[in-house]
Amino acid sequence: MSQGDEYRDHPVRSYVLTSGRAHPTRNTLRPETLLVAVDGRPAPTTATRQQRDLVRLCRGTLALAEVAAYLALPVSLVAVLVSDLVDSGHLTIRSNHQAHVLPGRDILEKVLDGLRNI
Amino acid sequence: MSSTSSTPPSRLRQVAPWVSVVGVAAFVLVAPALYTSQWGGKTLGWIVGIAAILLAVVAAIVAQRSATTDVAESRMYVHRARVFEKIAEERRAALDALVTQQLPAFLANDPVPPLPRIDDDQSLKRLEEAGIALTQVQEERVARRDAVQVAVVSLGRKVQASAHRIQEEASRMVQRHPTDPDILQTSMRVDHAAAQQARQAQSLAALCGEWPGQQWNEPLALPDVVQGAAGRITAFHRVEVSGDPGVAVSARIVEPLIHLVAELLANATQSSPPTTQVLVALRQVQRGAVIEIDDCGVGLDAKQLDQARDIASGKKQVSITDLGEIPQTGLAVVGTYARRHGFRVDITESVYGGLRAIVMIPGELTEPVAPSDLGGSGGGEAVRVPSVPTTPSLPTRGTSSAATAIADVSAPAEFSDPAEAAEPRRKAAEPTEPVTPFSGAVPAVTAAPEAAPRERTGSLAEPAGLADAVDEKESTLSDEPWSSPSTPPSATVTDRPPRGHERLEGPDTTTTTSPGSPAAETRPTRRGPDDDEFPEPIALPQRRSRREEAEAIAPTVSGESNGKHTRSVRQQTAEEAGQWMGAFFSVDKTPGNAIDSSDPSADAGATSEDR
Repeated sequence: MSQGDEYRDHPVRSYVLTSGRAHPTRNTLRPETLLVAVDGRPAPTTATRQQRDLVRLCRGTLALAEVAAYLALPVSLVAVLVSDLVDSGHLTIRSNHQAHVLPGRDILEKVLDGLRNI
Repeated sequence: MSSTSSTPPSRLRQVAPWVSVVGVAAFVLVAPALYTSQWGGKTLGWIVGIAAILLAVVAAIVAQRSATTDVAESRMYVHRARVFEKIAEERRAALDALVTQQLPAFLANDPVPPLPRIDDDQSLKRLEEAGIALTQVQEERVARRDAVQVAVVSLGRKVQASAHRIQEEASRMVQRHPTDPDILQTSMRVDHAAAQQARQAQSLAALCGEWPGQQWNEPLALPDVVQGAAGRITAFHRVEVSGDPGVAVSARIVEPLIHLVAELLANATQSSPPTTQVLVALRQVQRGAVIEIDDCGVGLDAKQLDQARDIASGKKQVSITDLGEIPQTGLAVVGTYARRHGFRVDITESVYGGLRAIVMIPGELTEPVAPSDLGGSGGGEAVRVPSVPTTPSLPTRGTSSAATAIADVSAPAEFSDPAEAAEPRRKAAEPTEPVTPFSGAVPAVTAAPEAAPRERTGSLAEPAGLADAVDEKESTLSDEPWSSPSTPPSATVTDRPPRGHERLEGPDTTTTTSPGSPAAETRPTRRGPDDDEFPEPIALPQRRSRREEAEAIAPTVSGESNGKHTRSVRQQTAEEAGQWMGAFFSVDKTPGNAIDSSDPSADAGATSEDR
């Protein structure tokens, strides 16, 4: 789907894959975020084919956008799938820069307090 | 019997005995007088006596003869009477056959059985005339019914084609804004609504005996078939698939099977409480593959179950003319496909209390799943084939695919104008009609048909947000249609993460919050349009690099962030800073980390470097 402008249709619609959710459970996922499958954790038995494929793809380090391209699914959709798998511990986000790049915890808490006070 | 009708002989016969009696009596009276008279009475007496005897004899002979003719005549009459009786019997039989067999057959549109043989020429002719008139009427009726069916099919195709077009546009919208979850959400809703519309239209065509109207070029794995089917019903999140036997169905029956399963799932979800799941089990059997669909409703009574079973298995044919006032197309469609493609469908009592629908796909229609090379999406990906050339619905489909073709050949700039100009308008109408069946995977409390109102209340606040998005989109579209594909309209950096507590955790800690649908339940249903966006508006996943576009956008992005969303400016500042820093560092690191990874991440580096 993301390959060029050619419209490729698929019988399985995107909303079925995420049961209607479009917003990932994590906001740290970006198209270039690198993903790695956690070794030794097979996909859960209830996993859909797409989730299994996703975990299989990420045995090597792969960027989110690349995964999306391989799966021929929109990046925003793959982000939802990926964040589910990260939540369940099947994928990890490989990012060694963000830990020291992101603002400190106190700033974030202040921002959060500010947001809550709005 | 015969004396009533035949006048001369019978009168003669009646008179003759009396004549002979009169003759004998006259002789008896005359003879003594003659013997006693003196003047030569002897000879005269003999003469009179002889005459009297002769008269009697003649009268007797006449009487006897007339009697014999009478008997012959009466025999003849009896014979004729029998003949007439036989004719009458035949006529009655013919009439019976006409009334009891031919007319019902005619009314039921069955082939009219022949009349019994009949000897009577006159009535034969009449009957033939009646038969000819009957067949004429029937032919007319068939012709009219066919005309109606053709019209229904072609109208259905038009609706279906437009629904597919909506789906296509929804998908394109996501392609254009690949990282925007809000766009994805809207696209999903539009896609879902259009998918149901397409299914209904497709049911029309199927009931008229036409082929489904779309088909796929590659075999599709069984779980994907069920998921594809689930996508076409309202309560798709209630479908729970288990088992993956590693079987795919042949390409030519993919669409019929999806439609069939979709109808069964629709029945199952509608006839069971909305808080329950519909369980779908897949398994491979000796003779093929089996899909079992269990609902947790209350089931049917024995008589209804028998009826439903007859219809679903294809034993009893239900055409579009038999549907009646409250058309229940589901099982009829199932039966149609079962008959045409040889699926075996049965409906029984479920152990869960509701019904269990079992679909057996014969072995010759299945094949093993092709091993996916890169773990791709499991095949089944195909371009929709344009619909039947005979139907007048083709133009719409044709133009759409023609437009696609043009768009493929030429630069994206050219196709973006008409398609997108039409799209926001459609979209603008969308929020006012709030059939938005997924506001999360939370099963509702009300019944499935009432699910729409429920979701209406759930997403009451949404239309405003949607309208915002539309407005944004329209404005960007009208301003610069070319660059719009790569500028997400909400590219204004409003980086407010969805949940604060998650944000506090490190990005790569493997937090084991509940995945899947439970996670969806915990999510707030109401989200502002500018709440959860991807932090970075990079137009990445179009694998084709659009560096120059990104260059063009880059200045406007920072500019817009101040211009729009004035109410969210305040919380952006601190947050933004962090995100921008993240962006910068990611630019620095990504190319180094992903040297082996191909275009997209390289593009990511390129595009974000361009800022």
